[in-house]
Amino acid sequence: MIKHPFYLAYGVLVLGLVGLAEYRGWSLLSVNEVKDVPKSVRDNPGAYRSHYVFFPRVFRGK
Amino acid sequence: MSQPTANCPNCGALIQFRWSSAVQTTCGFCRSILVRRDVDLERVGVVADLPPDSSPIQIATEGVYRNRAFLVVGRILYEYEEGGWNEWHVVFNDGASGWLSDAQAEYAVSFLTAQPGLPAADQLRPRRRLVLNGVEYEVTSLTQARYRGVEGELPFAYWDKEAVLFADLRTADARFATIDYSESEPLLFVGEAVAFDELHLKNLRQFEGWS
Amino acid sequence: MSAPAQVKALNCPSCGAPLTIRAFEHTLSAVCGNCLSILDTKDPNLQVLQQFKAREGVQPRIPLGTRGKLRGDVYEVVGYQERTITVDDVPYFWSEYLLFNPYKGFRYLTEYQGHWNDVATLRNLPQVDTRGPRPVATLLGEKYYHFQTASATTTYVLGEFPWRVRVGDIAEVRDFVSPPRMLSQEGTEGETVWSLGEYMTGARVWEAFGLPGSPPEAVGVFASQPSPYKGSAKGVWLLCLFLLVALLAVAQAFLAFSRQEQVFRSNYSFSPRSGGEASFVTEVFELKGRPSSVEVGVNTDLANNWAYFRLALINGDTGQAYDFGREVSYYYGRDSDGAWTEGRANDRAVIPTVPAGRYYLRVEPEMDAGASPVRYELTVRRDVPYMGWFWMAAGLLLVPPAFKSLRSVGFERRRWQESDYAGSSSGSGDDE
Repeated sequence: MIKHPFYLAYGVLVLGLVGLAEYRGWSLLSVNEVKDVPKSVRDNPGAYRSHYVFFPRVFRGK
Repeated sequence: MSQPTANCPNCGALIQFRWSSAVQTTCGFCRSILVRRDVDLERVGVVADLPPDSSPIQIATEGVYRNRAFLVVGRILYEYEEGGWNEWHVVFNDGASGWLSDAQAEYAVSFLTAQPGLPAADQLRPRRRLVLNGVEYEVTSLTQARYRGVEGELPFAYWDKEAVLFADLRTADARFATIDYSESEPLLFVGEAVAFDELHLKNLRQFEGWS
Repeated sequence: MSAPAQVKALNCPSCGAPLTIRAFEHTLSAVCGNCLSILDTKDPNLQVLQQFKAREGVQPRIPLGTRGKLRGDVYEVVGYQERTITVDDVPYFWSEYLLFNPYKGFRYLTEYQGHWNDVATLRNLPQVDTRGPRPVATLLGEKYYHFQTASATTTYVLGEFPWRVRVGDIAEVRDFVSPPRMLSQEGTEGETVWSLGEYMTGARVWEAFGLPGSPPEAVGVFASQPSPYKGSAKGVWLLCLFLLVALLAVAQAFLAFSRQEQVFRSNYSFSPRSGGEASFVTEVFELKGRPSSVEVGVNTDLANNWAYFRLALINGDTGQAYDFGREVSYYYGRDSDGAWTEGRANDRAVIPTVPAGRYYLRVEPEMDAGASPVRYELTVRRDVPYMGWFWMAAGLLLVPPAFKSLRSVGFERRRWQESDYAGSSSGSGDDE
């Protein structure tokens, strides 16, 4: 085993990464993270948009 | 260990034997080949000029084979078509006699082993398998060699031989065997190939440029 | 006692150029680098055995006479030869450096396209098994797989050799591999010689011999080149298994400890023909606990129809909404192949990281104007494990070892492409 230090290090790295991936729950699904979905979507699912921009509560101007 | 001595029948020089069972030796002064007959030494010939060779082993080299210390006391120099090799006669502390062959710096230690029923020379071919003492060998080479010279103490009379056929055999686990077809009955030597370092050789020959 | 052996200096009888003999009496033939004559060094007159011609500018990468340290011993380069094989009419050549040490004898260093091998003659004899799909040689319990058999011709020589070398000498060579080692069987008429080689990089050779500059770049993958991937493959997969088991445990834990709480369920129907406002909001339900997932389920009775649901999970207190759409369609029928279905009548969507709070759903269904009405049930479950992550993690954990294995297989494929077996499946599955 000691004769192949690079492969051993590589193998330990792979195992470590797998452990980390499983622990953190990683996957390869292409997910679009959307922020600030308003609570109104529960009443009106059709109004859901997969892209929201945060509007400040206080508008400038009139 | 008692070291027998004798006088050279030709020039009277003192011959000191390193090995008590030596049958043949050479006189360092007049270069006569001397053969032991009971108490006396008989002069049978003169040592031919040995050609220069490059074996790192020399007479008086010491070594260890399988935890047994040995001393190099003699040698036979062979020549064949592809070159030459040395068979160094080594003697162990317990008086046992063996051979350390040096062929192009490939070393093997072997011992004379009694073995009845050895195949005749014409029955052998390279890659043929042979079972000796329960061990399977494969013939690796058949060599026609000439005696080129002798030096020092040898276990039997080797001075009047000319050509000889050797069969080399090897196994999967570095075992080594040689069959010597120079006598009427083939002689078997069994041993193993060894690495230079395994022999812990001391008192080796020096080479110019090499420490 | 023998006098110290001397290095010899000679002159070529053909052209007079000086030669040095470094391997003492082992040398049987030596090449005059000036006129390319091969001389018999055992002949007092240095008889010319052969004079050959060669292409210009052949320079051994390791100069003759260079000394280097291999396996703890010093060796000197005393000879050099180039040997060529021909495969599919294409010639390939490699270099062989003959190395010498007066005590240890001879060794070889071979070089091919930047790949080097440290070779020595074998004392032991390998066992060859030719029964299987390809021959296998076994030495001291190790299996070597047949790579190539070829006829090698000596095409260039320099320096000295402990045998009478000739340009044009042919030997049949059979190679067996077990990376990083290679067994070679070389045979001529009278003799078969086995040798064992071990792969070396150019960098190591340059270091051993103290050579200047850099070694030649290695091209391709060599037969016995050790794989940089093999050996670790097993370890990585084992670690992968551990990690998968750990993943399973994590999954089990989340399945066990997540709430999976159904917080909402209700039945509805929608008829596109009756006019009026299609959208509506559900009653409020509570999501508890830490920020976690929310599963929204739609179970319909659609039959050969479709419906589109625009959904938003809205927090009544904070105004935060999670907005998404789901199409549900289900068709079925029969055709020549039998019954078929398309789509599903039920759908699940998991919303990530939803904080606790009081929520409701805003639903806006949509269908074809004249379609028949649909009855459907909406469910919301809190803290549901998302299985997708576990499957992804399993996939991710498998990627590095799979990648490594793939590279290893690729490497082996390139190795065996040079063999006699190119085109068939990669060589033996001899995993380390």
